Amino acid sequence: MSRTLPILLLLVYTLVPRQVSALESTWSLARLMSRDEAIRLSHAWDTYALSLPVSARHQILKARLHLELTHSNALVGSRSQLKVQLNGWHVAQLKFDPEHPHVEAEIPLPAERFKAGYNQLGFQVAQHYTEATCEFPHAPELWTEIDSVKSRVVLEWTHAEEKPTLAGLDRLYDETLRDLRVNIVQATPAVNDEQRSWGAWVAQGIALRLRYAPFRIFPGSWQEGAAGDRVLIGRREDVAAYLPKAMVERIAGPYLAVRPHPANPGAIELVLSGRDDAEVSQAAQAFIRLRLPFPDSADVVISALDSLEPEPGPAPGILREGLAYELEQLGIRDITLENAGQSLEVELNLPADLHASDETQVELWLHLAYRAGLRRDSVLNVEVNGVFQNSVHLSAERGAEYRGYHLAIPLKSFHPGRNLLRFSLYPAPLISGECTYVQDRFPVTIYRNSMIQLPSASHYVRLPDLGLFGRTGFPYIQAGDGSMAAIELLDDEAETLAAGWQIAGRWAQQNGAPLTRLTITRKAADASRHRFLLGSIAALRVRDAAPGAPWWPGADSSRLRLTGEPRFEAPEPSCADWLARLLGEEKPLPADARIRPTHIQLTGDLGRQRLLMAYPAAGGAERVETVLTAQTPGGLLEAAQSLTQAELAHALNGDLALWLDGPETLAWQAGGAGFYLGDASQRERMGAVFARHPWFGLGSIALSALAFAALGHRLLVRFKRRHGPVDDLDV
Amino acid sequence: MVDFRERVIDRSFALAFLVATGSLVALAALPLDAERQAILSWSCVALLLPVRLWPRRGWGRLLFLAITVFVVLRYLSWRTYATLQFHDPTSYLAAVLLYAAEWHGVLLLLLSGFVNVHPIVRRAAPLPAREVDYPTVDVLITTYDEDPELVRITLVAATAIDYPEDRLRVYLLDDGASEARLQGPDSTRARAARERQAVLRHWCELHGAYYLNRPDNRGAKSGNLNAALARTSGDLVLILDADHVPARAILRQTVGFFVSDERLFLVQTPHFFLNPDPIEKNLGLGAKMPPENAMFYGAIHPGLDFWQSSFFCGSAALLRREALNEVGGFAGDSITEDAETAMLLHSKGWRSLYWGQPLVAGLQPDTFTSFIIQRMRWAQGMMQIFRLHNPLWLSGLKPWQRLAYLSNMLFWLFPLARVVYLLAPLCFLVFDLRIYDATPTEIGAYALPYLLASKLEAHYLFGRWRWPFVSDIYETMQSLFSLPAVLRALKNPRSPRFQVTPKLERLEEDFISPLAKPFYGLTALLLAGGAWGSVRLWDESDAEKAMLLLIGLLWLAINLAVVLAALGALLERRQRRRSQRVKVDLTAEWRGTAVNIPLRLTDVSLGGAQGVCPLEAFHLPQSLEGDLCLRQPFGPCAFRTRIVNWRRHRGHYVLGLAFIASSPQEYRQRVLLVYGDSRRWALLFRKRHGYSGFIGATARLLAAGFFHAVRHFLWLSVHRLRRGARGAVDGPGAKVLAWSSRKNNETDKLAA
Repeated sequence: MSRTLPILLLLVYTLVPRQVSALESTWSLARLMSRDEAIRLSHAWDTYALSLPVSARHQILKARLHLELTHSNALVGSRSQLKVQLNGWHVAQLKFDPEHPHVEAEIPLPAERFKAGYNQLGFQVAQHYTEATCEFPHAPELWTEIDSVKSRVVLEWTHAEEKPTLAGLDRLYDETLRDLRVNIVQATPAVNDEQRSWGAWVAQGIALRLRYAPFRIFPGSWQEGAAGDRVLIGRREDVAAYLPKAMVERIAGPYLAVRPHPANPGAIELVLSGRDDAEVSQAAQAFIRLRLPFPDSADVVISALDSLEPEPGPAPGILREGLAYELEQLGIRDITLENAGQSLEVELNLPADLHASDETQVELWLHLAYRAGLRRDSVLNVEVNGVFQNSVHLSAERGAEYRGYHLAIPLKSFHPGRNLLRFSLYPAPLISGECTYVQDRFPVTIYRNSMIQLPSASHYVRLPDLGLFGRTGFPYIQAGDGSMAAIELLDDEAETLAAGWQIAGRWAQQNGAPLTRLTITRKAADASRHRFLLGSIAALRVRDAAPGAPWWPGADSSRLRLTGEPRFEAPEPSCADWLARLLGEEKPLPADARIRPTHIQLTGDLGRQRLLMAYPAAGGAERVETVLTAQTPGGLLEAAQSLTQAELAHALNGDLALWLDGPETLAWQAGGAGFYLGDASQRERMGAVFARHPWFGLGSIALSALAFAALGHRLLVRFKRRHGPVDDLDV
Repeated sequence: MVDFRERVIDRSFALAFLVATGSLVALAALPLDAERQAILSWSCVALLLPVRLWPRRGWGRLLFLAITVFVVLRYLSWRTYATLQFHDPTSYLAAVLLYAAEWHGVLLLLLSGFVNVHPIVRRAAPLPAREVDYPTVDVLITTYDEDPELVRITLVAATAIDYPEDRLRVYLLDDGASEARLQGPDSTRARAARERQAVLRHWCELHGAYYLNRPDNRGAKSGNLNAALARTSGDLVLILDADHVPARAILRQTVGFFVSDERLFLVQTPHFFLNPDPIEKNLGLGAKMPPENAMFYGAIHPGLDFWQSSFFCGSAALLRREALNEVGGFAGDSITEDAETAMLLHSKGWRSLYWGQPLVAGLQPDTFTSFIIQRMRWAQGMMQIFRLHNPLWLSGLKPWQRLAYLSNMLFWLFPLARVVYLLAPLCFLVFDLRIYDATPTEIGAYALPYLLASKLEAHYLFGRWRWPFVSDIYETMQSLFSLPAVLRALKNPRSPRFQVTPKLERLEEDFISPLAKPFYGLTALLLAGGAWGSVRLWDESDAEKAMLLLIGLLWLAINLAVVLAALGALLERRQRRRSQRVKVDLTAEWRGTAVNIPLRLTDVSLGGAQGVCPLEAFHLPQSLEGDLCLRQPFGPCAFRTRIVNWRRHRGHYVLGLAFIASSPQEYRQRVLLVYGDSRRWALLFRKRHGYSGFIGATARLLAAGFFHAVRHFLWLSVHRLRRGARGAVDGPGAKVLAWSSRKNNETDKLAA
């Protein structure tokens, strides 16, 4: 009996379904949309779809959709309804009641229909205002509006029990992970630059897999029970204390392993090790490069790794000026848009420092086809970053196929860095009206061999520019391999080092490729590189003030350059402006904004503020120094983390920025010295100078022409004296 | 020491000039956005307008050219860097061809600016004090198959040249009567040659000239002249074509230069013509606009003269025998032996000059066919010289001479450029080839200022001697025919053969030139292209593309206007008058039997004269035969005449007189009366030149072109289109044609 009971209990234990501990996430629909707006469904038939990200690490147990909507009270209840779909599967339908136009519904979503990655949550409406079959399908009273803020998806999920392997790294780290937290445990203390770089490699590898999703790097210690993933880096003898013996014995070279985090369910632990520093570095490099789902094992020993020879030029992910790209090369296949408002989005990553004249244009050659039966006002709108630019006129009533339909979009409509080119369909049926069967699908196919050509342009930009830095990481990603960037740590704090890793990861995301030659150093970085200084205010204080820095902490007080509000003054028209007016141009000249900086010395520290500033490096080498600092190393790490948040990064501007928590607390100013960086030819530079100072240009031309005339005349006189007739009438 | 100092000063100025030029070129290549470029280039164009009002010499001229060159270079820089994109092979080929054609235009513009930077007008050079010190002169008149009557005039005028008789000999070089032709297998031709020879020989004997022929026709004109050089001995040779009648003063005005410069090998004088060329005639512009060759003799040659690059133009020129002997006579590698000889002599260090007074009166070809024969010969000849004696490599030439000759030769590549310009808009409008990658804004900022600046430059340099768009019409008309000839000559420079230009053809009635057919095709092509382009424009929703289509249509419209003007010029108008009538203003008296009528002669010809007399002074004589007496610079003379018509006109009587058959002496007097006074040519030469308004001249030219194009189509509609078809059909079209013909004939004032 005594032996049987434990066995029985064990049996019961295994047989009884264990209550799995579930986690809950709530997403408002607005959070899943690119624009903050209500979801409006119009006409007799309409559709809208959202993408719901679900990480591969998560297993959905339950899901429900809390839907709040309002529909037109002109709808006929018996003929109007809303259908909800998940990944193409019908999950619910709601009947509309004109007496109760506001609807709140809890709609269960089948957990088994969810998949790792992006799930499509779709809404379709059928709306009618009459019982009869004869009605105007585009009547304005046919509408339904879903409140995207109040409507939300609630997911109950647990961590997937699948044992992670290296083959699954790209699924385990993808952009569906929101706010990933990674604790990097450096078993081998980082005492030299190579060791400091390990964490940066790891951060880059993770960041690249996350694409644009934000993430946070923390310095970890083995003992603390920090949430999130963990990465253990170090030589074999250093990591041996943390790993099972069997695992340690397998470290026979550059070693890479992945396993479930022993303490955090759903989290992952990575191990990068080797017998010496070089092998650890190789393991870290391999981690960045292993983007193929191979091998399907938990660990691997790398016996040979070709060294990463960086190619000159910008990173592969960044489009190059003067080249033409097919949509297929940008990851777009043939796509057919069918419904009004449906769109194709193409991501274009432009170099951060493109410089061209205002007339320079990005050219599109579209190969597309559309069906017959479209009214002449049907269009395919083209937007860049949400701003309308141009449209394709779908005017052939019999349908058409266009080969090389040419559109041009001004280059200035594109931002440096990441841009979104959107093609949105707005069809109008040729036949419409009451008592008319109206086609409801208007297929327009955009073919994969449509092309986008960037214009030839030089690289020429004024620095420092925190706005450009926040958006693109420029100039630190100027060379696509990080060879022009250095992160200089001003103290030995673990948080400071982690901040450096965070910044490196963010830059890799913006670069679209690893910065293999980025250095992280404790000593003064190479002056030929753009330097990014990280340190708390105490670390800054002990350094000499940088000559061009807009702010610097002293022993007792800080020196701050204040620019204040711009003063608007009457503009001084340039020669070009004057001539333009002479030629009848009516456009007024904008007021001149003058900024007069003052300097102030004052006590007081940053407190909870984070400070980011950039200034030309001393020595005239056309390099930028950027400083990120906070009151404490912990604050510094938070500051570095917040720079990976797109909202804050895109709000940066000027050459000095201060913030507390988020972008709403950001303050910035400009007005410091700057320089131009780029490979613009002398000709282009002079053209830029002349464009800015037309008087100078015109004066040079006039002077040259007069000199040409006067000297030429003298030469001709002398020529005639020597070679020509002395007896002519000098016409 | 002085020489060294001079050299240092020269080189310093040259260096400073190069710096200024380099600075202009560098500024021209700077990139600017379209808005600033538009402001800059249109400002430069606007600046040209006041600058061109300054005295057109000295540094003001250079300033004008500098501004123009700047605008052109800015255009060229943009054109090169921004507008040549590869889209597909066909478009790229078309784009490159158009680009090359534009380069031709730009090079010509730059070279013509160089050549014409400092035209000179020379002072006369005096003859030696004693006639015994005058150089001896042989006048060589070449003839082949011209009308013997025409040759007689030149012969007689040559023998009447004002020069010591013992130092002047006139030779008629009859290549139409070479032994080979006289004994040729074709008996009809041989007989005709013998008959002609007999006539010419008779006249030589009659008028005191020497008759020369040779065994064969090898070397064409240059061979003929070289054979004569071997049998003559004068220090200088005056070369005259059969229809180039010399004025009496030709040697007194030109020989002096040879005396003052021992290294002078050539004095070239302008080719002055009494009749309009067929294009001027057929467009009814003979008396209204400067003749087409005026630009060359009025502007370009004085410019070449500054650069020591005046070249022999085949006639109306005096050459030094010693220089010709040095190079073995007249060159024979090309069919433009004249320019070839001059270039070779320049390369030997000989000098030349241009004396801008017209001293011969010649005849233009009467039909477009003859005109084309002449021009094709010139084009081919220049291409031959370009290939065989390229001025860039020919040793001995000075750098400025190389550029000057290059300018002359490059001009004759215009057929290639013209054909491209004609077809380019069609490539875009019809085939949608991307031949010119530019937005309408860029075209407005770069191309339009360039076109305007180049037209202004042409008007600045040549406006006195050529109306705007005349070049376009002439070159377009020649290009269809010259193009294959030019290409052949470039490919095989030894292939072209000399062809004599027919002169003094009789045109009994209007007819359409047999060379008109390609222009019908071209017109149809342009109209079809225009229609197609218009349909595309109507249907185009993209504003930018619509604007480009509009620009293409405007370009095509200009081409069409030129081609229509060409068609207008291809309706050959009748020409019945054999002898040239020359306007004069001479006091004379007609003496009949008991009647003397004071006359003011208004025009004369070898056949007669026309004069006016006051009403009260006119009494119709019983006998209409009498003597016309007047004083000439060379003495009093009297001509036996008959009054053939008289009429009242505005308060006086107009009398028409015919010269009655005469003795050789009287014939000579008549020749001198009509052709002897070079001051008359100088007056006419000056009278037909003068700055005309750019817009006004263009409007008149295009209006004339359109008017005659309509006539051309009317003629087609009432006549059958056959080669030299004659025959009239009654009907409104015929009546309109007849009316328009009368109107045109009335407007011909000069020697029609």
